[in-house]
Amino acid sequence: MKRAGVFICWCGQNIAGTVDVAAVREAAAALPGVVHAQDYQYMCSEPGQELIKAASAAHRLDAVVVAACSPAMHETTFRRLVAGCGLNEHQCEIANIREQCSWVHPRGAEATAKAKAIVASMVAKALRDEPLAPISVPVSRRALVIGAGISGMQAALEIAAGGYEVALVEREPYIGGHMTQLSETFPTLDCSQCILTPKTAEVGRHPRIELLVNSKVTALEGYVGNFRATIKRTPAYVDWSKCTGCGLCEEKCPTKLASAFERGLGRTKAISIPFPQAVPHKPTIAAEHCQYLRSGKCGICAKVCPVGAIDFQQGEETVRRDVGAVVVATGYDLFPAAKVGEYGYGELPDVIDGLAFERLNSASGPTSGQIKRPSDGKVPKEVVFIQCVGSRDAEKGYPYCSKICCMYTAKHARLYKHKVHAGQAYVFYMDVRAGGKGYEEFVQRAQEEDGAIYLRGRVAKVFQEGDKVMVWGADTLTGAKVEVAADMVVLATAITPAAGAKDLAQLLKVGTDQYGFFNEAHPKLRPVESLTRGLYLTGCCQAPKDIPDAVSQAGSAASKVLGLFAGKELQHPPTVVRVISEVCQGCGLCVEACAYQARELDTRRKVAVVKEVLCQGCGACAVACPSGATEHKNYAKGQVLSMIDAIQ
Amino acid sequence: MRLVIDRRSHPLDPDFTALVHSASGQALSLCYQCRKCTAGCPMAHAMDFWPHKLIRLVQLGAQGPALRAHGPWLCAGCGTCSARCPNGLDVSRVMDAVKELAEARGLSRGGRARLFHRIFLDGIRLFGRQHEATLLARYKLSSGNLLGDLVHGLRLAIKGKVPPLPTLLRGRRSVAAIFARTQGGGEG
Repeated sequence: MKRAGVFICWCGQNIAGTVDVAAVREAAAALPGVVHAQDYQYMCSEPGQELIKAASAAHRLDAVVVAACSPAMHETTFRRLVAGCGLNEHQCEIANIREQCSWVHPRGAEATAKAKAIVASMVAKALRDEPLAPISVPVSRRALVIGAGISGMQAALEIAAGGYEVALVEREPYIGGHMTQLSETFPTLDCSQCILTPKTAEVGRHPRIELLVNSKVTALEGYVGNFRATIKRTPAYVDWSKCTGCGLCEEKCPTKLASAFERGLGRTKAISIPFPQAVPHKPTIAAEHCQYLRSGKCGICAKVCPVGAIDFQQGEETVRRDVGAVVVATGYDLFPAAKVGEYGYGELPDVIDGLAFERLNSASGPTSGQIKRPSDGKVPKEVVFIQCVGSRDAEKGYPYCSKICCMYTAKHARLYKHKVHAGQAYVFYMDVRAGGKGYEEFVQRAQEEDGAIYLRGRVAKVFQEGDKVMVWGADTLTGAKVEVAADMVVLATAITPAAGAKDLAQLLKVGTDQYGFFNEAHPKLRPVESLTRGLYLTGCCQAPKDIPDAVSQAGSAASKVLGLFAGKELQHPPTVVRVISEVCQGCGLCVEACAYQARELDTRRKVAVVKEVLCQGCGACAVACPSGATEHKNYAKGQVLSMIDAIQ
Repeated sequence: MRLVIDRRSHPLDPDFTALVHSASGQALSLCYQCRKCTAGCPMAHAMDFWPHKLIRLVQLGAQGPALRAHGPWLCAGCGTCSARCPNGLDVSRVMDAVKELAEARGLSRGGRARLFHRIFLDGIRLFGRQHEATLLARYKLSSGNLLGDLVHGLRLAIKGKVPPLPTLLRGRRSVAAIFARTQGGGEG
């Protein structure tokens, strides 16, 4: 018979305030197999841990039950302690008499009786626990980063700097994400391209970063340390190994179209390099607009290309990469502002969104950085900025704050005033949320130095009157209604998860919140990890955030990947299922029951097998097995029955 | 931009903001509308535009509504707002500046409060320090409200708070000089 020790924690008044710990101790001491029982104020404290250590030596314990808080809190603490005392860590069990007992049962007598039953049950389990050793898993030391915006690039660069290979996948033909569209950045007003291009250039030439643009991840199989990603690469119809990026094809292409990069304010061609600093600096043909690809007529680009790089025969390419870790950095899109019908977006030409204003203000943009309104190219004398378009609007389905709009609107108002000195900026806001280093001061300067008039109140209506865009709102601080005859209106639209993020989440088997932002494992303590081991999150795919936050989160995700790659092998918990092959009939019900692809049928031997590293120990197969051949380690059938028997 | 108050549309005049700035010496762009001035104001309950709203009208350059407000005339000048302002604005000086500008432009709607204000200031100009008995006598005669606050007055007199004769302050000529310097435009 094994020798068990029971240690009952008071948790201050949390447990002892309701449960009679002395009575539980006495009852535990009387249980078969228990050679020692003890109670103490705080078992997790150093003196508490010393008690367990001393008792384990004095009574030659080979099973330890700690009756305390939830195993989610301190199971690791006590199992490590027990392992240090010469026992196997799986011979330590936690009896949860706090969350499942003292906290939920107000009456002492009932709580004490339940605590006794919980302890008895866990003692029965501990006496039958077998020592288990962790399962070792080899690691592919290459990372997959999905999305090459500022956050994804930063994560890739840091993992590569740690000495490991990175496959960086980007669906656009260029890297840099939305930051490539910005003119200046808050709160320092430094040029976005100027601070971004050193990074895009470094990513472009880094020997350990494999850049896969025009690409999408279409499948991810496997598990931590051993993922296999399938990546589909849509054709650029240009052989980039030959192309010199001279731009002649774009110059001669006859097909003009509205540029999505310029938010519709500028034109592009069917074959184009999206912007001058693009990495890679190579053109891509937009197949849906190319006359040759649609009708077989034209082909001018192929005729003018001096190196013969145009290749209309190029097809979709499938790339497979074995990776040990995945970083998701799919970023954001903008709320479709046309949903707020009263603001006239999409109908009134001089009502634009924030990203469009960035393009107007950008030296490489459609107006070469001059603020001109889209309708007639006039310099707007009065510009109204409207915050919270979509954000904090439960009716539209976006009750959250998009976090960056207060700051970029202040930036817009300042940049506008710096370019149009006689101009007047009005900002309609609900609250100004400027949390961040130098942020509040920045917003104040917009008002004090650049004379932006901040009006607290949501705009009711925007409509055209002659060549003016009329804005009706309120200044709730004076209680007056406000009418502005503006020349242009800029909407600060909500941040939404990038298009397709939900599909990707399903493919990666990661949860999202109700809006489609990826779920972190813990909102405070594990903010860059997903609930799937080996899969990390960074940037706006997790929640709206600004550049500094996206960059620091990228560093954090990269450090998790580097930590994972630092060990030769990964340790997988050994509490998985096993098959008693003599009993197994090979019916395959377990394969159907498994949600983790961890069960397989060995067709030759006609028995089911377990892929231990995939097994999450949920026990679904053990329940499904009609012959009792599948057994959960340390949750064996006899063991569970003994636990039930122990509850009188 | 126009402000619509009580169905009347008011144009905005940035020069008015600058004028109040120079008259009060207070940089009104510093105000971020925390509303602490109003929260502590003992007279706010009776004002049409609370202190923060008045500041806001001035910030926006809404000259008409600001000068027609009777809120400033109710200001007791206790200075609680000024003591508490997180941006160090002396709100009661803004109140004074608005009153003087309203007077100068004939827009003042202060009523008896305005009358009291004028007599009060005139008393200081004369003696260099307020003489309560003269103040009371002049105000009572001018306003015609002879019996109002009679009990308060008697109580004050019993406590010796209403000395019959004014003290002649040594520096009264300097005080009068200040009045002379600032008279007329109401600025400075």
